[in-house]
Amino acid sequence: MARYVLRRFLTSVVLLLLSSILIFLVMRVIPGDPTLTKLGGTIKDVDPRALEAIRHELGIDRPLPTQYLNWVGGILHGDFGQSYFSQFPVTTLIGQRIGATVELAVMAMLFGLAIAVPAATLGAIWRNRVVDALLSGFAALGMATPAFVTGIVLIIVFGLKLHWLPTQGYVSFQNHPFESVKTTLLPAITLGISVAAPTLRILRTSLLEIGSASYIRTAQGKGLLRRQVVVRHLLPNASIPALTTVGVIVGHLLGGAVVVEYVFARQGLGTLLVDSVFQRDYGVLQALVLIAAAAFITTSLVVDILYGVIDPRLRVNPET
Amino acid sequence: MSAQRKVLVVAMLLALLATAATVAVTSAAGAPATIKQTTAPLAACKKSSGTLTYGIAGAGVSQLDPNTINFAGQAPLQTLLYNALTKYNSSMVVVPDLATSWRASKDLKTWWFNLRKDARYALGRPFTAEDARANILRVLDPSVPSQARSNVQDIRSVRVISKYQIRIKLGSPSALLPNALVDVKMSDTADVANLAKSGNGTGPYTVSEFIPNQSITLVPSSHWFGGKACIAKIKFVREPDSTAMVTDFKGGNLDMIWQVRPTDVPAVQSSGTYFLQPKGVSGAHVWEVDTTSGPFSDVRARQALNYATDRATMVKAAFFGLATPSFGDDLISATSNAYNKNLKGYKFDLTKAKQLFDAAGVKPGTTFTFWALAGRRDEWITMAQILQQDLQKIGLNLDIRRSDVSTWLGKFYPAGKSYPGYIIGNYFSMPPNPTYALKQGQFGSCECNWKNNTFEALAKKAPGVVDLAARQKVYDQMQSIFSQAAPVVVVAHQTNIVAAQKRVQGAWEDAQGNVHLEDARVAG
Repeated sequence: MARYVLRRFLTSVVLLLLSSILIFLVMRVIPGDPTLTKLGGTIKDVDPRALEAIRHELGIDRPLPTQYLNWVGGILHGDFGQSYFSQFPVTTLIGQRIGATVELAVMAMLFGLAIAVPAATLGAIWRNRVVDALLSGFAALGMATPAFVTGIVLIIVFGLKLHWLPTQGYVSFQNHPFESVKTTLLPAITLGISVAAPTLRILRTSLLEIGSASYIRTAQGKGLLRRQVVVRHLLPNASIPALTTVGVIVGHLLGGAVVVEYVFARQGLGTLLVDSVFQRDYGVLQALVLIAAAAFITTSLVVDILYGVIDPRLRVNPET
Repeated sequence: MSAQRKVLVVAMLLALLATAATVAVTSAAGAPATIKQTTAPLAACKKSSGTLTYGIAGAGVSQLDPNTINFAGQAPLQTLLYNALTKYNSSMVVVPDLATSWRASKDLKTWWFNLRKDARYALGRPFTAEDARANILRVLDPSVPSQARSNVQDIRSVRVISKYQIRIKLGSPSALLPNALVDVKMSDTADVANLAKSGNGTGPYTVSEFIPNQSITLVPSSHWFGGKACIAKIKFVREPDSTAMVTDFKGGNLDMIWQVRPTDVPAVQSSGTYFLQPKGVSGAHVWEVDTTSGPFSDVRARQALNYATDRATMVKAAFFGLATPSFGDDLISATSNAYNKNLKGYKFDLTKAKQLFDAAGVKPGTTFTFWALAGRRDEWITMAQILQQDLQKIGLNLDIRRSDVSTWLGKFYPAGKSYPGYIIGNYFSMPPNPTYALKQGQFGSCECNWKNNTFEALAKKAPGVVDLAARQKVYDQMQSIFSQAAPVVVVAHQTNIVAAQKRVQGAWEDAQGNVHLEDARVAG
């Protein structure tokens, strides 16, 4: 088990390093110049010396390898650089916004799983009945509808028409827990639906597959109650493909959060990412993409390790 | 059909019906709204109360250095956080701000400014003549990208005469130095490294919380020389787009919104809202072309483009009638007293456009590219589509493209770039004074790369002409030269449409489209 974990860990480190090089190079290749964006097009009579001064201040007048090594060196010392525009350290900017994203992701995940797990179980138990058809319909609709459409409909109905919930902004949980939940509810439902739909489908399919396995028939033949069969035999074996889904969900949450945060004007990491793309704020953009890559790689690592924990066969012979 | 399939079909139909119902309920319709006047000036406040939430769509405030701002949406912060030596009042007259009085030498090349003695920065440090000098010199520093420099670049020296008096010497006579200094804000240059983050000024408010590109919260400054700021908290929030901003305004979550799209005006208007009415308009929607590369290096091609621009239809379709067409192709609005009424102008005439394009060597089948911003200024796309249809009638094509702001800027900014065959949609936010508005046409300022020596000489002469009638003659000449040369197609003059809930009083908008909240208060 220890060798298995070590091997997966080293692979993850290499992946992270390659990601950092790719991120750095892609930022430099996309068109647009942060120098000009900093000027905004409103400043006339631009002196070439002003442009030079800005480039030097941003550090983009140095050779690319130097820029990369400076960046990586800073990260290893905990310095992610600073925004080209606001001059805030990247860590400060992330600190200002990470709460909003984490709250959203956690609530969306809880909401999504709270729907998907019982729904998938019911669908597997009452296969081909009306309940199963309705749940499949919900899954199809949830997967087909883009998150921003769901979000806008919820804003119009619950925000504009009924005035039940706020449609934009963020209140931190520490400041006001009740208001925080209120401002997070609509975005969490929006993102949660897009998480629940694929999770429901995958979980239901895996439950059905395992449900027809011989050891399930044996368990039923032994006289175990249905609840006991589902909890002791069905769900644990269905959890392996579900774990894979968790990895997919995390990626989905990261990407979906960008769209949902933008629709609900929520000051999270998603809006920070989008803004830094438009502004070509290399410092912020590189750090955020690297953090997202690290989050995804870490999730995959944890999932791989959990595979080994749940299924001992994978520990013994991980390549099969 | 299986039960499962029936359920799916029913679910899809229900979803379609819900979407259609939502669209029907929320679609805007009706004639353009009546724009109401601002409220009259109010008495000073005895205490700070209430909260004002101000919505900006599309982009946010990224930094707080007042002399290097690059986003018009943060203009209210310039007068909430900072002061200058002079300022405009709501009648667009230059009045004292941190300077209590000023005088000029007879040749208008030397000016003395007396400063108020009770001004302090938000962190408590007193404002003195040294700070005034440091800020002016910083704006003049060519390595500092300041939007205020072009109006003060003729300053040759700034000297501290006493703790509260400075002397400024100019290279050429100028009767308009007090106007030019309105945009040079007195920031805390003792802390330049933190200027972008701190917002430390002498204004009525100070920064309580700043999340770049997202929100900024202001509270009254305890060191403000003007007494009590009227509002207990002002929050600027960034909305993802205009639709979200309007939705939030209608839902009561925002008290004011900036740069409302003309097509959203009927949706925004209600008995509980009003629009700010600026005194005059000095901003213009323009199309820039490169006058140094083909085909628009030929003045006939530029004039042809003007004749092919159906301004009346564009104003009706894109601006809902809420703009002034610039038939004279003039940087000065036709509603301004300084407008040259004798301009021949360019009435929409496709036959003449075709003749001029032919004379300029623009062959049938030629394709121009219209370059616009993504996510903002939808009006430009409407105008471009009208131009596209009209050009097709005379055998020419227009490819319309939208890009994010960095890519959009990279094509033509700063001045000096070559972009043959491109027509760039842009907005000139010009100062209200005609001298500074016409500077937009000067070489180095205009991305059109146009240079006319007579125009340059007149631009240099104008500030030094004291007699208003004589100065108007200079303006008339400049407008005539610009109109004939047509380096830029000025389509329409329009300023920002700003809506407010009726509980907001005392806010006003200047001719440049900048919103002023320093005297604002909220009722209830």
